[in-house]
Amino acid sequence: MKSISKISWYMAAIASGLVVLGSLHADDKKSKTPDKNDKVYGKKLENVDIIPKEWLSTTAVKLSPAAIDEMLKKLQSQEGLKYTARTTDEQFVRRVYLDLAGKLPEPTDIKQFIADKSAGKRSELINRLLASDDFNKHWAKYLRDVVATRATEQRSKINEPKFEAWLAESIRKNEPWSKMVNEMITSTGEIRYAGGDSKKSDSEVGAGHFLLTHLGADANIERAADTARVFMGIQIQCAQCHDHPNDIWKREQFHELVAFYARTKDRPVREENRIVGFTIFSALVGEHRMPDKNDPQKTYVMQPKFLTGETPKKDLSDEDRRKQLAQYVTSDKNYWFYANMVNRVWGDLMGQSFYNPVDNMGPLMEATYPEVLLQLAQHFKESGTDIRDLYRLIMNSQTYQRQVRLGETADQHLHFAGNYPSRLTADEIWDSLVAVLGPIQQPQFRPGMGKLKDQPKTPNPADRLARRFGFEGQFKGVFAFDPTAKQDEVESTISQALMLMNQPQIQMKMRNGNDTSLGKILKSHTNDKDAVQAVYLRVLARSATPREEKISTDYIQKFPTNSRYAAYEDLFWVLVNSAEFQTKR
Amino acid sequence: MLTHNLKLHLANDGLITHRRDFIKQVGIGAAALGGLSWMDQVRAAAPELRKKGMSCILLFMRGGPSQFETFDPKPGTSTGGPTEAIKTAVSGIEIAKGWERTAKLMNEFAIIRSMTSKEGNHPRAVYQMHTSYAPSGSIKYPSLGSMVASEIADPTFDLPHYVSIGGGGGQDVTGAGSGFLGMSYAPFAVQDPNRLPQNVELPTGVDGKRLNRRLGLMDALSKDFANAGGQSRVADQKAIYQSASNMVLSPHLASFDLNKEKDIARERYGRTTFGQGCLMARRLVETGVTFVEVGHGNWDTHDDNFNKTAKLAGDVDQGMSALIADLKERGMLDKTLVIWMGEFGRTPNINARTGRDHYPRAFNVMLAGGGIKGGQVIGATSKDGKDIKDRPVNVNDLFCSFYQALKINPKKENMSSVGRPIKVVDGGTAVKELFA
Repeated sequence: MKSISKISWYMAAIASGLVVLGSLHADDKKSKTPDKNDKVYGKKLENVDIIPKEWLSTTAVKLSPAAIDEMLKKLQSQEGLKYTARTTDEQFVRRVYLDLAGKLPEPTDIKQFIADKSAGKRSELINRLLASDDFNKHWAKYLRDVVATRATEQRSKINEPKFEAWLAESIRKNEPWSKMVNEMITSTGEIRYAGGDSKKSDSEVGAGHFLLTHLGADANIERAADTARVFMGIQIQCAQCHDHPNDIWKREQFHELVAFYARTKDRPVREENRIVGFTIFSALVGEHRMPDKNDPQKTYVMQPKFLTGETPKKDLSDEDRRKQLAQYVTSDKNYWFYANMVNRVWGDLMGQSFYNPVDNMGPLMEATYPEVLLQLAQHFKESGTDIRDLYRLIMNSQTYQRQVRLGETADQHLHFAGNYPSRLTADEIWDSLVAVLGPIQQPQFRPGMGKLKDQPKTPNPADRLARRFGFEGQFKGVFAFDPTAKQDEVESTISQALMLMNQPQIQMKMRNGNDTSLGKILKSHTNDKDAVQAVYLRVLARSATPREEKISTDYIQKFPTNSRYAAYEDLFWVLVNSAEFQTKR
Repeated sequence: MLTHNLKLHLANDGLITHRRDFIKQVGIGAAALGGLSWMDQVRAAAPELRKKGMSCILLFMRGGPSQFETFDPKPGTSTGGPTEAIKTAVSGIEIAKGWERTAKLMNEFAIIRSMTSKEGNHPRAVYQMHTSYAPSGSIKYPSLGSMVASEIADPTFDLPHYVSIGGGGGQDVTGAGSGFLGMSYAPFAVQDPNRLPQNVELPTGVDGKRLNRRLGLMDALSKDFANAGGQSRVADQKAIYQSASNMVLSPHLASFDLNKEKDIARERYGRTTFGQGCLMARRLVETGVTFVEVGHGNWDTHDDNFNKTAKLAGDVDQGMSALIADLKERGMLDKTLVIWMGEFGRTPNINARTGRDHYPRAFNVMLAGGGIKGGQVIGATSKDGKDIKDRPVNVNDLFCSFYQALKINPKKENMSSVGRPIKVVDGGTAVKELFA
């Protein structure tokens, strides 16, 4: 890929002499955010706008999918990018199912979609899936992972289903994103562990999970950091100890943000001496204290002040501080709030975002086509932070509907000239596996457990979780990754390979049998070519290429007729274990 | 069908610099060729890859163990609390009560009482004590385990080079991953040492021959997807499946099976997850695994510090002392560096809940084996434990010492995925007193 110029408002500010920065045009490989070693900091750094001027001056926009393509094309045309082709119907239907329903389409869904000759069928499919309950659940899982992967309190994992239920219910009602964020920041009251005796439903208490992923002495520091990271895409927590090395944030700014939570406290809910949950409550007094940089024994009282400069009235109660904070975060003025969700959804759908990783946004952070993000963020604001509308807008664009490609290296940014082949999440892999194999049973025994007397008396936390969430939870634990991480940094592990390669329950479902997926295919297809095609459609949601069909039938026909099923088991196993099975394409 | 451009990027000293490319190439090459001619090339080009016979066991105390209740007690002071000191096998060295077995082996241990760092937040400090670097948004630094594995592991060995034992181990621990070194050196997590790692046994009806047949078919059928934009995913998958199948078919797999040990040996280490983890660590190192981390949790004693640490010390004292004694009896201690540490220490002040809070300013770590000169204390804290009185050792100094003991050059640079050279350790000097 050619050298590409990066454009940002800040770069413009820099060029006009406000900030002394190095090169404005960095090529793809070398470009990086300013580094303290590069001596990029001029003395007038404070003149950099926290909120881009363009955000405050742009008037309301309502975008169409075509307008996004148009904007991008104009920028892309200056760079000589090579576009990938439009997805085939077969490719499209798998991708849309995975992106909206979080699982593979059934073979009948694929066939029907391909047979449909109407012009608007892609839009219709998007609308149908957006309206389905699968979408609510899928989106809830995505956001649950964004929040939960960085939880510092392991016990909070037990409450994830409640958080998920609340998220799913909110999106089912099409609640604005700003309202959801408001509820998360201002929630009070208790969450009891799943199975605990609570009079309230999961979806009523679930919002509190955001604050309860961190407990104890450092919790408010983590809560403040997550408020910036999850809702604004800004990583400010390193400013806890020192000024941010790559962005404008000062140490004080982080501690002023923490001060909004200064009186937010948590305590365990006890019943008969057992901890059955946690509760968030407000202390009447107390302030956050910032330790001195050099002498941590010395501390300074910090007053709440928001990152964009707003200061609330003095000595507010905990409730009012958090209400105020929620208001600042979701304010029309706060560009980063709107840009954050757009950047996340775009990254989820395209595999790569305007800012990468998605929570690495900020005034001095480098972005690809920030002006397009700004327009999308305006649209999102105008829509009243309607999540469904945002998905619909992006997915109807040509940009989204292009085929996948990788750059010359796995981490090269494609500048949206093609879709990036990202990995399926643990939930998507599990749900796809269940779609292909049918329900997977809890193991009856655990191999290699040894004698009972050799077992430790207190099981380790991972075991306790496995017991609570069963095999499904264990499986997802093995495949879990941080959804905020850059896609090219998500790596496979040996444990994942072993799970699909050897796990007894999964293996049983991949065999030829009366009621297995493979058994049914073999019963209804006598011709090898047809059977191979049916296996491909079932597992990979596509037809086999002529080459694949030939390799497969050659392989099968080497087996004597009475053991041909074993060759099919091999083929089925190979496709379930393939990289493609775990990849969006 | 095999194309493997073994692009080794050689620096002036003949060392491979573009580690990630190199790993990918070797991984794929190994999968394709079963490790023959390419290996000769690697050997010729990179002599440092040959195993130096060294290995390392890290005993990591999650939560931040109190120095006062471990190896820097301050009896009779207000900050010392009720914790008593006991004599050890080395006259003049006293450690906290509760560590009687360790005390007997004091000749093997070097205590550093003057550790100091600035990270007082758990995830950040755990990251730093695993990588020597502070967390960074742009570069994923490799952990000590991954770095050691990539530097001195024998690439032909068929078990993972880096095994992490104990709940919350492996990828769950921030900074314990392979960073930019890639997944070949990622930790393989063992949740519970009392049973075999999950899914290492082939399912009914599948033997090694059938597994290899399946992998061959997988290779042939992955081409079209690779050509349609999935090449790096296909390459990673192939390398990981090769490692997984090597492991499954390896005769060395039995080193994960503690049922192969006599009851008396298992009792010696203590029937705790930590104790049995130490026993598994010894078995793995004996077989040829380069780096094993055994985790032990709950050292974050913000309340009820003295009762809690007494119980925690009991588990660790037995497991660690059995490990050292066992390694010594087997003649393995000189070649095995054993490290005991946590992410930081705890405050001299005892809080209202009789707990101690986070204190990175002055804490202790302990080393044994791997050529380390035992029976000594390095550095000292003031009488109340608030300050370092003598010979401060920072995290970089500590990591330089680890690498020196393991015969790895801490000044070497590896190329990170963003194309910036990254030193094994960025600064610092090995603690020379450790090496007699």
